[in-house]
Amino acid sequence: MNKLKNWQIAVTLVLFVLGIFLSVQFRTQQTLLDSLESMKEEDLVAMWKNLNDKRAKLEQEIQLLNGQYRELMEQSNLGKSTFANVQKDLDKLRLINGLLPAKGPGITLTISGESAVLAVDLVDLVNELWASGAEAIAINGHRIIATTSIAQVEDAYSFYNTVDGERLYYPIVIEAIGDANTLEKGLTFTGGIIDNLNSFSIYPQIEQKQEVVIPAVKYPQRWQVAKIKENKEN
Amino acid sequence: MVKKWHLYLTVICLISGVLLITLFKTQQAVRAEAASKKANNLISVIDGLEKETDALEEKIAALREQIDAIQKEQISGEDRMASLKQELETLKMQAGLTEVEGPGVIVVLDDNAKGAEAAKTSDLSTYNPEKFIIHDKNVLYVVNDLKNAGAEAISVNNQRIVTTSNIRCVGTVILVNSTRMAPPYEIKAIGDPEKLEQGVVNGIDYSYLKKNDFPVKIIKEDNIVIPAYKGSYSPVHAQPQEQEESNNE
Repeated sequence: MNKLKNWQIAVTLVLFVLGIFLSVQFRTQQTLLDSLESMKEEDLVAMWKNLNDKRAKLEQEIQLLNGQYRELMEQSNLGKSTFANVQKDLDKLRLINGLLPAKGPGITLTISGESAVLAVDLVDLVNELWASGAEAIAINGHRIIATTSIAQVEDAYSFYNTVDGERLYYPIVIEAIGDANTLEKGLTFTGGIIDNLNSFSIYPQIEQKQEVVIPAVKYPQRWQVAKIKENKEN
Repeated sequence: MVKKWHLYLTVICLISGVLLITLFKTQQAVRAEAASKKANNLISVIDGLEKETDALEEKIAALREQIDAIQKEQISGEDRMASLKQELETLKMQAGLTEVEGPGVIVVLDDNAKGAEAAKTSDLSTYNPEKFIIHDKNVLYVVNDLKNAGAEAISVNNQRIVTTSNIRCVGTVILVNSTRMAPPYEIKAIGDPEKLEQGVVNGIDYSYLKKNDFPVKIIKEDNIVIPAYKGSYSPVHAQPQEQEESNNE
């Protein structure tokens, strides 16, 4: 009994150790199965084919996206240049419409008011300045645009001039931007408008200026009845 | 004896154990070697491919992000562009660069040919032709009367009156925007017809001409078409003055 028991114990021990060895071996085998090295060759080949296909598809996608990206960049650059052009146009129109203050060389013409000047005299002066190539005009800081009204308000005792309904006080100063020489000559030639005013004892003082700054209109035009004519073809 | 037998068994078991292990090990080694020989190339190729596809996927993600950013920018750009174009239209209209229509009046001023004939036949020595023609100032002041009455758009013989327009004469010829005009002068204005009519009738020039038998008339219209300004419009001397406080954000 005793002998047998001893032998049994010994065998059990040996088998136990062997079992441990085996299980460890099995474990390592298992982990090996997950890695490429443990895969069968045909599986590897299949995987390689799959990856090849995937790579080809991805490269195609990149080509497509690159094309799209380039196209978008071109569009956006084109857009930016169109944008810049539109901005330039806008600024020019804002200047013409008196929405931006203007600066440049020109003249100032000052009427002191010893003798009253009529609204039509101011209309004449402005008209003459445009004719002499003025690019922007203001009377006492009121920017003159296409719709500006220059009028006379009279009562029983006196009259005064207005620009867009605002009274003009003396001295009346007309500022104009343009070629200073041309502007002055346009007013002062013999038999011209200054001669005519002088005959009514009005003696405007003209000064040529390196830089005249003319403010923007106070009230932008608001059209109530005029509309852009639509072409019937549209 | 018993102990000896014990010892033998132990030794045998040990040896067989060692043998087993070495067998396993060698098997493993052999198998790994075989596999690596066969599949080594394949494995390294697969590894390479996997790295490559990962990189490509990252590149695609980056590209899509860039495209997305540009598209977003373009959409906002298009919105801005649309509003700029809208503003451009308005500015062009106000600058007189578009054909416009609306209610208003047509003022017709013509030379007093009949009066001139009569004066000539009655007494040629006192005949002054100046007294029987429409002058540039008549046209200029009637245009101003129309502006004072709130005219939004004006033309003289289809020459649009813009900010820089001037009305002058050279000899007996009236020029509007440096274009020669011939009578009758047809001045069109868009605005409130009643107000425009009042403004002209009460103006000095129209009443003077009317009193002196010039063939002048005012026609109120529901719809008048006034052409666009076709002249040049390029400031050379004037530049926009930079505003210290720019209010366009």
